[in-house]
Amino acid sequence: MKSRRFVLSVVLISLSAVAFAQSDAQKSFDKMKTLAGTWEGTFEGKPLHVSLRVTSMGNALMHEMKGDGPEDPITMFNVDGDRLLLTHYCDVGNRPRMVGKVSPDGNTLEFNFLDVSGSTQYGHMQHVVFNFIDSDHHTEKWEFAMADGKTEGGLLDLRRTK
Amino acid sequence: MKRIAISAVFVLIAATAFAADAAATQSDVQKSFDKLKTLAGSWEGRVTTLPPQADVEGKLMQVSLRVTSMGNAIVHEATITGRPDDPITMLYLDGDRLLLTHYCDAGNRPRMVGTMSPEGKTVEFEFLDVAGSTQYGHMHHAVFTFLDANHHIEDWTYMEPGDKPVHAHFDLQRTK
Repeated sequence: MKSRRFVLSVVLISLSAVAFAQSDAQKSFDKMKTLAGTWEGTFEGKPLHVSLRVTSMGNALMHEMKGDGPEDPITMFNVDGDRLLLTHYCDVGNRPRMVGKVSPDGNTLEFNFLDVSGSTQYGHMQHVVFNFIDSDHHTEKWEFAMADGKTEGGLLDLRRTK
Repeated sequence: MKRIAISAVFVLIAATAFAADAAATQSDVQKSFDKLKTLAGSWEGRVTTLPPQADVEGKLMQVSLRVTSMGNAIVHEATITGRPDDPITMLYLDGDRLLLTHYCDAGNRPRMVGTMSPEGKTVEFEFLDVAGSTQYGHMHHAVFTFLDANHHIEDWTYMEPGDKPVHAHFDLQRTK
């Protein structure tokens, strides 16, 4: 798909990234990448499977969630300039974006609402917190804003299976 | 989280209630999106390029298309045997538009708007905008051509700096 020149360009990008100090957004993104793998946990007593995969030659991270129902949202993470962004391809049909910020101790990544495309008639996801406990254990707290302004959330306690 | 599921159920109920109307007045973009959903599955085929790119020409590639987000999105994944390329493309409806966002190996994220041909055999995506650096170019155009249930073609155009197009042609047969 890409020419040799283009491949060379990608290499140059990589070298540049190493040569200069990593941005906070890049550090946060790299932290998120440590979650790559498959995870299992429960939500309200029911099993939940989460997969995180580094894609696009390291430029994106894909998060997939599957419970015992039809829900199967996709969330994409990427660095956008000096920001770490996520775009949540929601089961309700819209696509909220959030900006991530790492805690001073590096153990928590909090994503705050930026904007949303698509209808919000049924609400939208608005806030997510990833808590890194150890290499095989993390939690995710997702918060959904209902159309009436109320919020609902859920804490996913996840153990690595691969 | 329970409300999230409930919200999704509301969407389904609404969809069912208005199914009859929807069938009669289904928008062109919804038809295009539904057409793309028929590609869900695993595909394999050879890559040809113009101008020829020695590093990928004739190589075997794998494409997966998956309907996700309770039918609201399609995930397109592409890999080439022996190469690190693994871009993700998300396809979805945005109001009265069919959009794709291409999470490119080059690190940027172009969006394109899709239109189905009158006879329904192709869906063509035209460049809309791009997020992220385009210093090394960006994906610019894509066409999906539907041949039969087990055979489709994808034509992707990458725009190198200086607006030099590189065209990649994927002739894909369904493997699953």
